[in-house]
Amino acid sequence: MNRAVFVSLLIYALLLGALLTLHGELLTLIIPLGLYLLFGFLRGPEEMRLEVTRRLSTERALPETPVQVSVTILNRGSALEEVLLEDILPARLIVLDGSTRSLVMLPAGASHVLEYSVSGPRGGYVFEALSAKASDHFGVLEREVRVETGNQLFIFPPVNRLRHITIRPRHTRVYAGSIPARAAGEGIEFFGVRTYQPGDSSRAINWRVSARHDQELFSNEYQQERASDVGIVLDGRLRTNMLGHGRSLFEYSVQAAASLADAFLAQGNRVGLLLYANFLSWTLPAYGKVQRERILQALARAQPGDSRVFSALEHIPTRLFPPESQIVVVSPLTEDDVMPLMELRALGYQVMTISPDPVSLEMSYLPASPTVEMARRVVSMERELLLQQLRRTGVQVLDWNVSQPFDLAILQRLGRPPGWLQAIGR
Amino acid sequence: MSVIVMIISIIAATGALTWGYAAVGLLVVARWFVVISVLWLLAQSQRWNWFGSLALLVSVAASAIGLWYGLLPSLMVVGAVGALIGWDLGNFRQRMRFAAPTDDLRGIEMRHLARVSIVAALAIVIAAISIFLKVRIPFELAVILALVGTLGLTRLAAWLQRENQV
Repeated sequence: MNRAVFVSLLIYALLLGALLTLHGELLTLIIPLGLYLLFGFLRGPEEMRLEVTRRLSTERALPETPVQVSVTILNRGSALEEVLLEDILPARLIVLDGSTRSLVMLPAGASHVLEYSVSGPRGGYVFEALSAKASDHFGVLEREVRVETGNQLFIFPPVNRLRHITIRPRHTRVYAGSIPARAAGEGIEFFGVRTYQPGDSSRAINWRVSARHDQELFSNEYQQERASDVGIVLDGRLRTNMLGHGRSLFEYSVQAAASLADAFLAQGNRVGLLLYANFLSWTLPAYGKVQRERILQALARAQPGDSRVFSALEHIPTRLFPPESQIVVVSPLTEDDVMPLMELRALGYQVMTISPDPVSLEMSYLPASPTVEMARRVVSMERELLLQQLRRTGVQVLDWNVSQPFDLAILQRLGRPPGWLQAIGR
Repeated sequence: MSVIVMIISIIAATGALTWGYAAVGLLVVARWFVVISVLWLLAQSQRWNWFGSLALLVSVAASAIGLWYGLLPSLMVVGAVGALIGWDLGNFRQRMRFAAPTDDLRGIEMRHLARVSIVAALAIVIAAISIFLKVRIPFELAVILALVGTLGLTRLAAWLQRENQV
């Protein structure tokens, strides 16, 4: 109950008591209570006018990295005798140092600074508001305001720098890039030999072939290297990501998707991202650093989820991806996912699957016993069959043991040295 | 500092009531005030925040009944004022828990104690004067005063509630 109302009720009861008993001395007890109310009422806060500025040491951080937050509150209104300032933290952020609240006296024109540091898991966080609760010293009259601020903090997934990833989409774009385009032109990789054309560089003449022919010269042709469209599909279904003991493969998938997006964009490709969870979240394909930022923000906010509609991969909206482009599916995979991936292949897409291995992750925390070992062998065989089935249909598959760093796994299985390294024979 | 003042206030309030009731032979009632005193102090350490309001209600009611019975008025007034200060400081300590360690806790505490002391001193002085002078109010005037007071208090309570909702 409000303190003022409580004290008022006491006074009211004493008044009634005095009246009913016709005993004037009872009114004496009203004096302390009345004075208390009066003092509180006279010194109560007026309308609050606060100006709040929040500064973050960085707006983009890595998981569990401390971020310094400084909130300056300037009182533009009348003096506040006692004000409780509380910066409302987004859920899941943890205060490492300092405090998000402060009880202060704030004279007119004065300012107060709240300083603290936070950290948290991957996510997109919005600091929505600062709450200020002012009262007189007795707490009789209270006023509360929320000052909206709206700063954002993105905690991105860690990005492993991947140097080279071999992809061979059937269709490339017209812009120069690093993907062999199955067409002759300027490039580094050997493509074929044709008769010498005026204007060909003398360095392009293939003297060995020319020596075998009279009166005719032949030139080497190189494969054009172009940019391509790459669509990354991140599988966020709970049924594929959640393992026993509350463990999840989703963080590994997010990390892989972030590293892949970074690498493909660095190679000059046009990259889009589709999060396939309880709903579809689509980041439109684009080039460059701005797109990298967009994809990392989408990945920071990505959460796993389940829905009946998207329980299998069959609802991947293929129209979002340009025909014959490269699709990279990051998914732990289940038996039901083979057919949808085969269908993607049948539609002409070049499909690559990065599959974080659930078996190796589960084995890392299960106690060693003959039963567990037997179960591991059975499940591993089932998984190997599933991956083989995919490979037979032309899907490029990377079975990723998550205990191994992603960049190392990629380098071993999908790495391709750039043309200039190949040219010098290294 | 506020803790010490709060404990002294609680003991003074319940002590005054105990003394007042024991002086006229109502020992059973007096013992109950000792129990309330112990429970109130225990409630403060256990953070039973609701108990302070209950204790204030009981103390004011006991003071009123004591005055009606003709017990020593000074003790009854001390009982009510002490309970009011004890209740206020209990709430103040509750609010102070929200403060950060870096806040000027001592400054806030001292300002609060100064305000409470002024209210207590003024209340005791005015109450003492009213007891000493024994101003007799005719019944008709008392009724009018009561009605005006009631109306004013009701309006005040309604206004405060409206303000808090805004």
